[in-house]
Amino acid sequence: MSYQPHKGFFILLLLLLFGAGSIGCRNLEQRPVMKIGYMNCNSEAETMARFKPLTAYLSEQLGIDFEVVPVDTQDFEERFAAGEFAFGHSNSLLYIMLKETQQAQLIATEKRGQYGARTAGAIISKKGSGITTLEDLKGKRMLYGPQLAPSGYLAQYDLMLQVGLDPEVDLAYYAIPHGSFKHEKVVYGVYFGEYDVAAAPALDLELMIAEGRVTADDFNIIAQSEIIPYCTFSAARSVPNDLVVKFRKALLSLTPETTVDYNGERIRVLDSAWITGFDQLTDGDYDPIRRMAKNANMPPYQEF
Amino acid sequence: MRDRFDKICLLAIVVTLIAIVAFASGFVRSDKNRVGDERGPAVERAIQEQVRANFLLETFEPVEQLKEKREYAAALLKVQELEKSYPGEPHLQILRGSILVEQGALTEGIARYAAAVRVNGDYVDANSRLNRRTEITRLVEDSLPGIKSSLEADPNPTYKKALKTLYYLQSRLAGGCE
Amino acid sequence: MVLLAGAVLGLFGVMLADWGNPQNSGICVSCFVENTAGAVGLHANARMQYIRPELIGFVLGSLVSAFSLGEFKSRGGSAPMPRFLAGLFLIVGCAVFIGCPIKLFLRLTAGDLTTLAGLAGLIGGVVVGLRGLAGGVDFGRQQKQVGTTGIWMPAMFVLLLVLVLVRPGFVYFSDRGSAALHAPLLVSLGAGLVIGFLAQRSRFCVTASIRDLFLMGRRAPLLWGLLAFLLVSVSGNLATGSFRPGFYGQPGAHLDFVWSFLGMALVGWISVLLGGCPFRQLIKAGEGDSDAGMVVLGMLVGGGLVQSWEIAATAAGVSLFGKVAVLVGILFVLLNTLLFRERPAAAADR
Repeated sequence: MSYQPHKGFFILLLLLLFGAGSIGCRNLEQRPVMKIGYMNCNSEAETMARFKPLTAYLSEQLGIDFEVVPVDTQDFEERFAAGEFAFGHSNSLLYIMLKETQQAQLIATEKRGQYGARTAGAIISKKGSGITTLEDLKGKRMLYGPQLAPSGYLAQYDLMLQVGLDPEVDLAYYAIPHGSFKHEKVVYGVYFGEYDVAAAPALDLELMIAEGRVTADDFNIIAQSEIIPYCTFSAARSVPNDLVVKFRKALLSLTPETTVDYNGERIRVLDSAWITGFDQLTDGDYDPIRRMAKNANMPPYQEF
Repeated sequence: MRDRFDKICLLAIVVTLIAIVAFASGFVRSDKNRVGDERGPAVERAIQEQVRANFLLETFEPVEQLKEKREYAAALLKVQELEKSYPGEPHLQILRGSILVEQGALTEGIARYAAAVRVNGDYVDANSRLNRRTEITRLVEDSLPGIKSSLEADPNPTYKKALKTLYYLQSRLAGGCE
Repeated sequence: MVLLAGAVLGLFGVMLADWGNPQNSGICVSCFVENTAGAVGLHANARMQYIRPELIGFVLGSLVSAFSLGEFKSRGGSAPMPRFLAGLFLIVGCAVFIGCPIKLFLRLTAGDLTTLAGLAGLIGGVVVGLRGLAGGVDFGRQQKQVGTTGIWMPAMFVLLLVLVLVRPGFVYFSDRGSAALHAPLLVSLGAGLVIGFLAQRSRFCVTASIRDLFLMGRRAPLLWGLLAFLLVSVSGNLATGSFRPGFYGQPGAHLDFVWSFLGMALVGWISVLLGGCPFRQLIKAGEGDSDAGMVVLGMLVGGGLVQSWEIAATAAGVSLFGKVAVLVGILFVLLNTLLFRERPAAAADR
């Protein structure tokens, strides 16, 4: 007697084939692809390592395949204007530049360190150097951070101008370190006596103290700037508002426990990006940077 | 009519009661002169709490001094350094909160104050040596209207969170049983 | 008598807070139980330790009343272990809400609108409990007990009175926090005695008033006591300037409305099964009811656990442990509803 397969068996087989086919089709469906430009703090490798998991999380939340584009600080505005990436993660001064020249949309501000979504710049000298006031800076050797660093250059430059000191005239000379880790080099420059004073971001000092590389008692804080927003996510003018809102919501809903699948591992998004969270600041919260940039004749308000 | 058994029991009760009263009254009388291990856990705890309050106020005094001189960045860096030795200590959060509020980082400062009060209610307790009631009351009264109006103008989750935290502090200041 | 008892409870509920007790906590049986449990070393929260004389007053006032009227009767034997655990979960429900049913109304009459969720929960719990009773749920009949077993719970409160007067070194008294806030000892004790006496005479109980409203409608005498209580406490809060209507910034309150609802639902449900809220259990324990005494012991243990295990809510909200504890409490009541149900067929066989 030959075996006669039941009619139901064929129907089930057909259904399975149809189901598998539709799943396969779904997998082949193309998700939109967009790019996020991340400002390099130290190196491309570091930027990729920090922000790839966060980007994977954003892709997961928004259903868009985001790609990470590491961007050097000085190229950021030009590449953003050229449309190389629709979203940008940059320092707050770059955000102002993008806002003023490209009408970028503010998304959210990164939280890191004791100030949360804000930070500040400080002018430091070595304890025992006798340099304790801004007046003492006259004729001294000073080390600054990179020129577009709001809390490592702009804030200190502005602080000096506010008390009538012109860094271009009143200092013996000033310099900006080469290569990566400029902010740390600035702190070490003073720590090891190569320079008399330095423009140190409060956050970098804080991190170096937390890691035990220096102590709070090693330095005099000669002056401190007002607080200004920290690194910022923004979007190009062309990005639809509902996508900006979704992007913001995804960032604001991040908690220290949020994880993402990345390279076969389940990892914590915020930890991997060295961030403690995001806040929604208003564009008006960035006005202190605008004032500083105008006072220091820096972009986007530079006049020649 | 009670039998002999009852009478013995009653007598034993009377004797035991007299003994209890005698020992208990002796205990009460000699209370002030007792030393060493006999001073009791409540007294021991009171001493520990006094020592803890003294220790905190003394250890974190440099931060207070820097804050008084309005050297906020230096004060915050000192807080960061002390946190390495005393991680999780709510007094650090109170100090951090007060410095941040002075500097205008209002929402972050409010969050730090609330984090400290959640762990240690002494900061809103008028009877405590760690009491910061006046400071926290001022913070709540000064910042509530501003945060409320900011939230009305812009339904922003950061303001929403700050408002919720302020209500928490307001509730703790209002007292009640918890 | 019911009107008088309700009015006096409302008056002292407001005035004791004015005389030194925590805000909106002139009378709060669950808070007082937690304080007392801490004082005798059942938990280590240094801000919640004080033997509350009001509790002693409730029990001893009831004892005096019961003795003077010949109503003191040693009775008990009805499901002692479930009653003990029910007492424990009564405090769990109260701790998650932050307050017993009396405090619920004191908070409400002081303008704390966050209590509305708790009130809805309490009413819901009473309704569910009544459905249970109607369906045959019963912990069993009490029996008259030989000896004077009913005297031991009042005796325990006499011991607490001695401890609060003598203040030996092994008893803890908070010097800060809400337990450090209290009216003068003799005032608290006196108020407790008066309330205990009147409550024993009148059988007044907040939860029973709500229960009777559903059973008897407007004819329920206890309902009038509740109305007198509300009227006096609203007037008192207005007169003392404690009336601050609103949802936010209220003393000893949180905004976890779902858990306020569930916490008080648990209290309402258990109270109906036990025949009274935490306050009523103290009064019954004073008149010789050992079953109520078991509930009171459970309440004391619960008072220790809710603090030690961080079950008690704070102004920051309800902890995960608190949420789990309420659900375990609801599970406990559901299981007992099944286990102690006298089904119609079984009843007919008897």
